[in-house]
Amino acid sequence: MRRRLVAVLIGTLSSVLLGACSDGSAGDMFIGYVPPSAKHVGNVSVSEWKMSGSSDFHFHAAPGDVLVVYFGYTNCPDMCPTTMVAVRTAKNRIGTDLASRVDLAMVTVDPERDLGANLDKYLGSFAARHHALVPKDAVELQAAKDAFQVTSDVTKDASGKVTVTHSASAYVVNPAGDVVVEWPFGMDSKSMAHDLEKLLKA
Amino acid sequence: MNTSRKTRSAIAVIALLGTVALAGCGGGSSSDTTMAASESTVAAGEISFEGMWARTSPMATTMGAAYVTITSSVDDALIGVTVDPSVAAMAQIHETVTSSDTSMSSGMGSGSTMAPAMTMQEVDRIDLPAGTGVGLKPGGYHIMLMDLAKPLETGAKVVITLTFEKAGEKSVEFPVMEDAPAGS
Repeated sequence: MRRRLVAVLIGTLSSVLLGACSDGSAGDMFIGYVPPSAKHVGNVSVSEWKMSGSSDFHFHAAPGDVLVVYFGYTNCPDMCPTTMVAVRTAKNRIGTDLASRVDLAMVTVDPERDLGANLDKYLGSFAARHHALVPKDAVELQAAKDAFQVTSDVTKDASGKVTVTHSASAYVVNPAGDVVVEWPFGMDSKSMAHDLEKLLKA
Repeated sequence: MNTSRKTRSAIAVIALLGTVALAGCGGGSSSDTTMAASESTVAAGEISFEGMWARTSPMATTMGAAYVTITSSVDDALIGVTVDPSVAAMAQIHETVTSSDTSMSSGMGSGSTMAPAMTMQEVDRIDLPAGTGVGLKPGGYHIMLMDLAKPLETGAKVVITLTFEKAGEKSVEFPVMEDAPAGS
């Protein structure tokens, strides 16, 4: 009886695992989460802050590259830097050649408080190659959140204390503008490096 | 209600049941009673700290976070943190939790593929069961340093005073590091 249960469990797990990789390229097994239905984000754009002036940034990687997208805010001392450091460490693990093909974008979910110049400096602490994305209004932010299926909220209580809630996954986007794999909060840099290598060496 | 609160109340219920069960089993011998009495007025135990570090603050942020694993030899609780104004205007004990606020604007409705949203909340205390190391770690409890007087730079050290219910105040030095020390 117990053996049968174990067999059923193993069967279920295998199909879950197999199912997870069926959307990956050539049967590659990602450690991160592969969305069961394709998430196309390439048709969405958010305003990118640049010293020279803002321009629209579309969510797709340059040809041959991958783009890691994160939704957060600069005054986030725990989750955001944890993920940013993990991404940086993952890039260090895969060597400079592959790492140079990893682009990074962060969308602030707190555009009222996050200035573009600040977000740009913040990201510069983690990656030379990055995009500071500051939605120009709530509509633009919502469109990006919808595309990635991200939730976020900024609330202020009576004393003026601001609480920011946000999805804490990182999303890896290919040149076609599809999310190929998602890294839930807390995934280690070794696992991220594994997934990056799978994508960049494919 | 969030998950951690639920867990905490579940633990409280279990603890309560345990106490009731123990009381029910008690033979009422005088030595038992004495022990119970002395436990309720137990003196502060030894507190030990391991793997402390404060995160290098990225450019352009005024918030910092510090982490440590705390072990108390007796049941105690971390009830407060303070820091010198030369480091930060204020320190608080925070916990990163998964938000269960379903009213939140999500756009695509309650799609099952949606990553859970997370947020930070201030906590009044962190219970320290005797002999059990309680970790303040990324994604869980942390000491939040608010309005940093200056950026936390790798290699620097910050002193944070931790207040315990029984053991009182302990000042602990946190080296500033880019990432958690290995093995913590």
